[in-house]
Amino acid sequence: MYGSGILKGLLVTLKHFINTYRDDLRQGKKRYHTPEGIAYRSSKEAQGIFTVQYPEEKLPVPEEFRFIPFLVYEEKAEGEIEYRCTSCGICAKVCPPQCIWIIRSSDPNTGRPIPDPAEFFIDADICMSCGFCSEYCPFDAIKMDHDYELANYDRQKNNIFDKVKLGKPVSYYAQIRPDNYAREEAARVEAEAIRAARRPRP
Amino acid sequence: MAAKVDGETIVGLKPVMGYLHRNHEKIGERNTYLLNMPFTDRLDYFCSMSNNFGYALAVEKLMGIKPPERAEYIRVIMAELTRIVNHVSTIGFLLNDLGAYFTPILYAFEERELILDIFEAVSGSRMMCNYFRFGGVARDLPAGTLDKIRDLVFERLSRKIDELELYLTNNEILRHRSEGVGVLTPEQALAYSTTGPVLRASGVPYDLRRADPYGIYDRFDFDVAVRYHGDVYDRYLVRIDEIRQSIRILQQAVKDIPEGPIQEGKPQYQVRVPAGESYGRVEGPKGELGFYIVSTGKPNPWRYHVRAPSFINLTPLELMCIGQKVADVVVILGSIDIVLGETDR
Amino acid sequence: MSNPSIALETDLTHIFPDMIKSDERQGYEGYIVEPAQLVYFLTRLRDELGYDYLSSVTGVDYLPEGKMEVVYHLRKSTGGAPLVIKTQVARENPVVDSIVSVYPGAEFQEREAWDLLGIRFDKHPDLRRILMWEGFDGHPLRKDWREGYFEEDSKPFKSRWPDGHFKRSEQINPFGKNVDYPAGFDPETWIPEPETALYAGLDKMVRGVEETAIDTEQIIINLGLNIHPHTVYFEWRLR
Repeated sequence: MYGSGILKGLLVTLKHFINTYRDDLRQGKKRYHTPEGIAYRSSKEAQGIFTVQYPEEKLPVPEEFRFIPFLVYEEKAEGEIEYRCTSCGICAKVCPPQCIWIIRSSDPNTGRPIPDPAEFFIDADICMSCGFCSEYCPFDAIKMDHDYELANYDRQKNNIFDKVKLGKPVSYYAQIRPDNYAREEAARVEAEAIRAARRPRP
Repeated sequence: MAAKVDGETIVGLKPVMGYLHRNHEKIGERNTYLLNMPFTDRLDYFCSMSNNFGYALAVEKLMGIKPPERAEYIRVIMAELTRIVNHVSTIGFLLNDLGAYFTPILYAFEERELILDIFEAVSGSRMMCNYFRFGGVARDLPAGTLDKIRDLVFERLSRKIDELELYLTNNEILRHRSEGVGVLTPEQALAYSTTGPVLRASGVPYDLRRADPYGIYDRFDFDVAVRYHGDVYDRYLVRIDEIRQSIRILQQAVKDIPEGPIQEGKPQYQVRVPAGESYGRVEGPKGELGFYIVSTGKPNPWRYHVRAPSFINLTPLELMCIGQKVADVVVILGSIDIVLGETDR
Repeated sequence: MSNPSIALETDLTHIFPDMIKSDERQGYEGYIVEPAQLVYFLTRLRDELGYDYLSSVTGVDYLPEGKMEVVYHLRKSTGGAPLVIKTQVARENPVVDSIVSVYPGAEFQEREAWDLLGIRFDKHPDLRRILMWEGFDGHPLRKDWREGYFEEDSKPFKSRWPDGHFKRSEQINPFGKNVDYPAGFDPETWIPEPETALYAGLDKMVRGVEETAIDTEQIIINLGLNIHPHTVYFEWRLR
């Protein structure tokens, strides 16, 4: 029959339409605005409506997700902050759009450089979120953040991130990237054990 | 495009391009080899994994290194998933150009979203993946990702492509508007250097994965999708066939993937590339994507050229459109499947 | 990693002894052909040896040697690795024969080589700029051409570390000291020329149009495309 193709197509569309409401009735209030509902809609059994309604519902980002980087600092006793960064400059060299600007600090008495950054700027307008800086940092000092809601009204004032704005504690890093953190801590402990074994016995 | 029309019939056509020209090749000459990898993502922004693949192949040929087994399998899995993503979007956009406004796109994009979620879990970003490195891939697949890929490949994708075919392939409107439109004979297709689905829809069974194999494609069992009429309908059918063949390759790859290291040697940011030239090419979803690199042994390339399939597939556009109506031009352009990021670089 | 059984077995210098020679530079492959023999050689390759598919045409600027090179990658439609053919011409006023008569697919790629490198192609049907706009001065991919925001020849830049005093890109002003305008050019008073070359090319075209019963006139329209090619809108621009 002429037109059967179009009719079959319309039946498929009708099926999708009905599926939306069928799942609504079956899952009731748990379908929207709950983590299980979002997980259902992004799984392989999803039928019917597929949309995750941002900003009321946010898709959880996977661990590897990368956005603008942040500097990791360790919190010592008495609220003292120690940045892991030693201003070696590898991240500045390996950044494809060259958006990292670092000023090494020098010892005030001898004038020789010390492994601590005096200034650390990242131009968030240029950063392309490639992740090279965190991939090639030998000290695990700069990592990619998960926060993507950085829109603001004044880019000249807000979008150059300096050392203070970039600094976040190790506990935050462990929370957003647990597997990576666990792997790095295990490697650090192992390296420390090897070094301790090589030290001459007293 | 500037088209000369006589009434409604096209008499002459000249494409005008260059509005997205970002001087990618000059930037490539300023970057070092590793720094160029995220820029290749942004060439054909729908298929960033394929672009990375081609560039990694070109530089690995100069360096003379080969990635380990697991990395090769991961590369093939990512490349075939990218092919499915791209073809599914192209079919959606072709139907958008035909007038079925956004419904096929909406249904096709569900599959695309699930695959992009996999890309996000593996590489960190949905579209600008930056995942391949010289000698392997950047990170291993996280726990659970391989199961998600298995679910998709063995259960969901074939079913969804069948549904797509159910309401599209025999649709009378699609058939009337696309059969016999924009015909390209096989001799013309070869002479005008077309590649990819456009060439194979014209009857020339040329697929780089068979003709000049790279990676581990010679281990997989798949057919080359060919059709013989060379019109828009055949280009649509060839893409559906290719999705099915990609699913076949994926099923074999996911079953055979071994454990092991994912990168040859330690990751370094200053790769040492000896002097010479190399042409690394992949069968991207749009055609033959090639990277021609000339190196003088310095940290950055002397010449970096991208053989962009969308740019070259536009050459026979005039030939295909003469004698057609204005409304058909839109459909023909949609069937060639161009991406402006690649056309203009 | 190509199949060795369909790789090149013949050494082409035996078949064409006076026209080509092997490329002996370290790490290079393929053959260098004399510019005068280029079209003849490629025609014979296509007809006799079965290389009927042109894969890519590209140009390379060798500034220290004073040469411009055009590189052709040819393939057989039965499969196999590409054959690399090169011609070399002097860097001042480079002119190469166009191969559009042999492989029509080279049309856009030769236009790109003209646009970005300045290599002129003799007997090309429509040699105009393709990626840059008409009226652009200069050939951007040449090694002695510097772009507006030029800082250094290769990354990483020394201004980022260890002395990284931050500077916004807009402060490295392209209308400042590091760009050159042609003599006598004033950006405030310049009026760009319309796309006459494009429309002139279309005007000359007389394709076979049959006489129909409807009396139609021939006009030129611009079918516009925004950034993503799949939402097409029409922009009627009548000449």
